[in-house]
Amino acid sequence: MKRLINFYALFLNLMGAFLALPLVTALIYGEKTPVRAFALVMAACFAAGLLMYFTNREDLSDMEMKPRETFFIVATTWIIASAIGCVPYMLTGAIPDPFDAFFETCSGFTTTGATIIDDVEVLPRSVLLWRSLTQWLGGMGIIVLFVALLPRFGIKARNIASAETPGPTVTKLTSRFTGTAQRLYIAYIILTAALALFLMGGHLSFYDSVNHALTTMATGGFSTYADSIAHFGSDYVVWVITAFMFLAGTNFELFFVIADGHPLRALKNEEFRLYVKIIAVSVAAIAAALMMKGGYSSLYTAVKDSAFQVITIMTTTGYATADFDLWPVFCRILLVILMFIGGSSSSTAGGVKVIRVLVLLKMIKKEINIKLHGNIVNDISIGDQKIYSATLTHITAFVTLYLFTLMAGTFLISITGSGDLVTNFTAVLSCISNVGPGLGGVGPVRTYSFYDGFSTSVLSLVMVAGRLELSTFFIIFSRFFWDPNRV
Amino acid sequence: MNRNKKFILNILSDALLIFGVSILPSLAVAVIRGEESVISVLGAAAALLAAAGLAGMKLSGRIDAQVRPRIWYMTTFFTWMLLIILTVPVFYFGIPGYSLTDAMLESAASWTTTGVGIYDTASLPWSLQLLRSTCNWLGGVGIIITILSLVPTRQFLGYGLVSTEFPGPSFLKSDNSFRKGYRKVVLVYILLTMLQFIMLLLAGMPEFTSLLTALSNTSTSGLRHIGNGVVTDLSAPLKAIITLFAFLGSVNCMLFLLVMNRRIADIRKNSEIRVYVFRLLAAAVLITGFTAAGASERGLLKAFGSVMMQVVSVMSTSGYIITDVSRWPEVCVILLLIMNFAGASSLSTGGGIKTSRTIIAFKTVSYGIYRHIHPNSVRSLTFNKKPMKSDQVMRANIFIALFTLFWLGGALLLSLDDMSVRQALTYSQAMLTNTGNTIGDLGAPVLVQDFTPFTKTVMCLLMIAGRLEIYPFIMIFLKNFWRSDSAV
Repeated sequence: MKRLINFYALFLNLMGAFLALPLVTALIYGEKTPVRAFALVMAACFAAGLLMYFTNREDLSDMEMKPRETFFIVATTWIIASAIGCVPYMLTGAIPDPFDAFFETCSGFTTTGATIIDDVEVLPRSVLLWRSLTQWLGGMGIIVLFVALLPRFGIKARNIASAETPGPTVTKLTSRFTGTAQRLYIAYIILTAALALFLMGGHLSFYDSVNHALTTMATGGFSTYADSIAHFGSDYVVWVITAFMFLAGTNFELFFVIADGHPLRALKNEEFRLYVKIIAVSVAAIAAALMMKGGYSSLYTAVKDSAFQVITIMTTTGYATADFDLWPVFCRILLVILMFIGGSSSSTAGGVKVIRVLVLLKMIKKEINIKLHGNIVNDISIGDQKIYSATLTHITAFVTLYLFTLMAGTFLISITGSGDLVTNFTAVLSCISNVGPGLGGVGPVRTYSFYDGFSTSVLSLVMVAGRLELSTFFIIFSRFFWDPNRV
Repeated sequence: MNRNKKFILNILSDALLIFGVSILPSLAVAVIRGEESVISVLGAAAALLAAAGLAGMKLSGRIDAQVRPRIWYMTTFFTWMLLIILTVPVFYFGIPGYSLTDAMLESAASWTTTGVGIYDTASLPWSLQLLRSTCNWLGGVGIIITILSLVPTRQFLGYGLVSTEFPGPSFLKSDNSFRKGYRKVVLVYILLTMLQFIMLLLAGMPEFTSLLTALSNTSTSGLRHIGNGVVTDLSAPLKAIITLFAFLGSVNCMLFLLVMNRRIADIRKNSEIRVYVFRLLAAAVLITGFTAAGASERGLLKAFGSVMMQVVSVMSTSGYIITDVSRWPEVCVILLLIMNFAGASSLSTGGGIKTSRTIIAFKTVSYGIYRHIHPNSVRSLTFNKKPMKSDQVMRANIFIALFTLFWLGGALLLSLDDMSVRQALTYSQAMLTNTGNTIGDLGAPVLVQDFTPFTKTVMCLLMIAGRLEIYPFIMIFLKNFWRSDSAV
């Protein structure tokens, strides 16, 4: 228990430190109510954090966490982060309803980008920056950031990060996981800064550039404008953001492979190749459908809109340059399929992940071969790495749990009578894959504001479950978790 | 002719002969009712099929050697495709105004037990309605299992072959001889059909309608011959009989064999039936709660009965509309869609993912969570109190992923036609689960005459993929499937 309190104490201090950024923004723009709100929440975080720390001081580097404790810490930290993060929304009056505020914060930390705010442009700038910052913090993982900033967590913290990092595998890039976490964050910061500079080169203000850089690299999708990226009316901005969304949805480990002087090895990566193939085929198919049935007369515009929408949905970012809910049904269903697939493992994207789709396809092929030729020995491998039976079981269990959660979520949010089948199905799909927009009532130019408190609470939990790769979240509801001796 | 070709030809010939003979009742109806335009078509079809079957049997001779699994799948796929294709000319020439794709869809729907059609089925000549229901019955029971139960020589060779038509985690092992098992399965369905026919007659349904209903309902094919599957106007006893037999058609036929072998205790151990009944009751209770909250106790019981009938129709993948569902809230539709996706029981005439696979999938998820907490545990998964091998567990989960893949892929292809997202998703599901009527449009029967030939073809492919549980369907696109055994 002491360990947990100690962990939460440090976490609260970290949250307090990050709240300084919107506080400074509020001071710069002279936003009086937000200044008070952010200062109050920041002070409360520091006060509670320091009190808990000094009353439960314990050397964290000696912590030998069991898997149960690891999963509990990760799941609860994300829920606590969302609970604290929603307070500024309520205190500033931006989102007075607590369920809505919790939804918006969950959407931020989980990088979903679904919003209940109908007119985002009337909100104070500091609140919008906090909204974008929650996405950036959640993108690479709150705990990974923790590990990167607090090296004394050392190698034992790897288990914590693996419960939070997207994808079925976490490769050690350095001998200590702290080093890996630091390298991941360095890459994340460099790419975010580079994108901000590129956007400023496209005549965006510093404020807009920073906000959109934060939410693009996190594959979050919050914008400071109601009409999202379409607001800028600039092809340059569209292509720059398209390119960076593509990078954000790529396995970050490949950047280090390239940095270490092996660009060809990165290009030969099976997951990356499938990721590129899916994007290329989808862009071509949607562009063709837009030209034939979507009323587009310019091939360039069709390709531009198609590329942006395909990449923003597949990387689970969720921006909009066009109302794809008005596109031909073929395009919409293809985008729904891309929501399922999601981005690459060890990226900031959500969804089932390309690596799992790749392994599943190989498992199907193996299964067919067994059916055709009897019990042949045919191991599944990705690159030159054999995938062991336990990993295969985890992957199939993940996909099954994903489908069960999708079905249960759709049913639950329909109970109160909000939304039709397509709206509710794509809302849950969008939330579990951390995309943002769906179809119908939650289309790209609409919001989730029509859902009631019960439905937004369910959707909030679905977002957290999706961001934590389902099992990390569902473990705390398991009978095995509360009764460790049970078999 | 090599061993493989002989094997395939032999089974195909049997199938042709059986189909040729099964056309005779329809021919008789055509003659009695003076349906002249159909008599020649049915007569020619019966004669040609029987002749081709006999010639093929003579050519292939006696087969007594085992073949590889590849040939089992090839045989099953070819048999189903051949029967579907050979039924096309009967509908094409027998129904004025039908195009080739219309006839193909009618044929595929009949064989795969999918309750969908081009026009109002009740307006077709009686003989063709009977042919449709005959195909429903043969398709539901399984043509391969029918062949093996009738032909004495292949009882041992047929085991693998039957498993390609009746896949699933459990299989018919109730008797020492496989053929005894197959015969009992066919006998069970014959008895169920006869019993249902008699009960329907006693409840006041006309003879011919009773016959069609008994044939189609036992095979969970829907009731397109009555108002295109909308049977809300039937009397309460008729509705109860239809519901009972749709339910019996959708439970694992192993249970009937256990009853015949007086192994009642084993039925209690069967987790699939328990979960299937629990799902039925849970769905019915929830929907009653959503639709009849606030009603009196008597009204609640009546509502529960009506809801239960519709739930059985959906879960058994029969797809007829038996209750006034036009004012049901969206949450009920969503619940029914989920139940329909999960489908009926394994080794039944119903479609969908199947209850046994969903049980294994739930256990896999639970086991996955357990392994996260206890990574070094050696506990294994059990099904029906027996430990399962990891490849069996994975097989069930892979099938669910594959089924989802086909559902979404089917919706994508269907969306090329002029339909909404809702229609594309629900039509794809209705075809893949062999339900027919889309649950998304409950209350409105599906008539697909306005769709393009491409859409109708996609629907046919989804029906066939769903009936054969996908694998035989995708195998034909693989090089390995067509390579000779020596080349592998």
